[in-house]
Amino acid sequence: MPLNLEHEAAKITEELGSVVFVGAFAVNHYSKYRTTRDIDLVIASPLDERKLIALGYTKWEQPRGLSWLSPRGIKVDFYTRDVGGIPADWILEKAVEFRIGKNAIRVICLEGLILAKHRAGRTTDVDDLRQLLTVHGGAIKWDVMAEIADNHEMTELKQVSAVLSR
Amino acid sequence: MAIKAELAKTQTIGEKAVYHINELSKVTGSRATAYRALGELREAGFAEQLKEGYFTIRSSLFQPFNLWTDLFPSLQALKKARFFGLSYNENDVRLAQQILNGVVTLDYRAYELTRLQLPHLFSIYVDDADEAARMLRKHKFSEGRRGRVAIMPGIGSLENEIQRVYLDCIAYGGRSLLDAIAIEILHAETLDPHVRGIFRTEDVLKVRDELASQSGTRSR
Repeated sequence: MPLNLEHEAAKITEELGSVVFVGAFAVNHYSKYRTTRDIDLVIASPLDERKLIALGYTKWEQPRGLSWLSPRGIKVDFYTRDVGGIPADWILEKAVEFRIGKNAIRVICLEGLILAKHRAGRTTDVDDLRQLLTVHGGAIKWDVMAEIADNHEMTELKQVSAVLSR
Repeated sequence: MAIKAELAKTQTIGEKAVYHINELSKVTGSRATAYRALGELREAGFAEQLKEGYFTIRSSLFQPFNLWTDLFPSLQALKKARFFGLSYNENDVRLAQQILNGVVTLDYRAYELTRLQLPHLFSIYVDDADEAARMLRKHKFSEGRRGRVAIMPGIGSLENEIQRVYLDCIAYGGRSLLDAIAIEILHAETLDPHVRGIFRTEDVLKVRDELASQSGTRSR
């Protein structure tokens, strides 16, 4: 496969330190699936634009808002406050670490990712949610989910995961 | 088979991961009509039954009704798709590419055409599905629901191959919608201008950004 986003994630972690990957990259970590070439991440400290530019990142204004391009030309979107209403601090605290060779990479926990996809509700998010619940619906820690989801979301997600999970 | 215009009413159900028949009842007005509508949606290839009372809907249901006729052959082919797996990873696709002859569509063909999203499912139209299945079994593939190789009967016209991939992507729905948008942007001249999907502005902008970042032009 010509594109290796895991390698890119490792490079970004090396450059920026405490980051947690969310979005399609995280979906692909839990369940090998389809992903575009962009990376979404939560960063611990406020975005330091001068530091990013010094590291070779470039600003990219687009109709949807400001994005960045990594030194290797991959589009990167930074989240500093929340992802779908899930606080960045919670995402950083509950992140799951995995290794690629010598590199440690952190991704959003399964519960956070599922709730973020459920709340986003776009066609691609619904597709990702189905995929995640089919493969990992039985592995959701509902006490962790309860920290961020409201009662209605808990009921709905429990129902959907019971139907979809293998 | 023609898709009944009354089914367009079900579009108001909105997009979700899983539905219960009660939600469809609210749209159709009664439980009996809901079950009848679900049967017709399944027949058309838009819906798939899960456990009792629960079902999924392809996002292509939310395309304009006048496009449904064009999507019908793709939906029927998807409905008849047979899935095969051996190692249940990329190796299965490589092997299937060597042993099967046919017209590749969806993920892998869309990736060749757009380079937008990494492919996952290898879908191929074959002349004789039973023969293709025999060939896969000879190479130790098992048939089931989870495999990454899908063989489909060539229902409808495959003459304009890119047009068919475009319609297949819309019919499949979900993430494949992004592929359809990318095909429309990159291969507009090969598509019938009267047969076009409707996409959310947000998704179109996302695809345009992705393609621009890949090409390095950053300004489409």
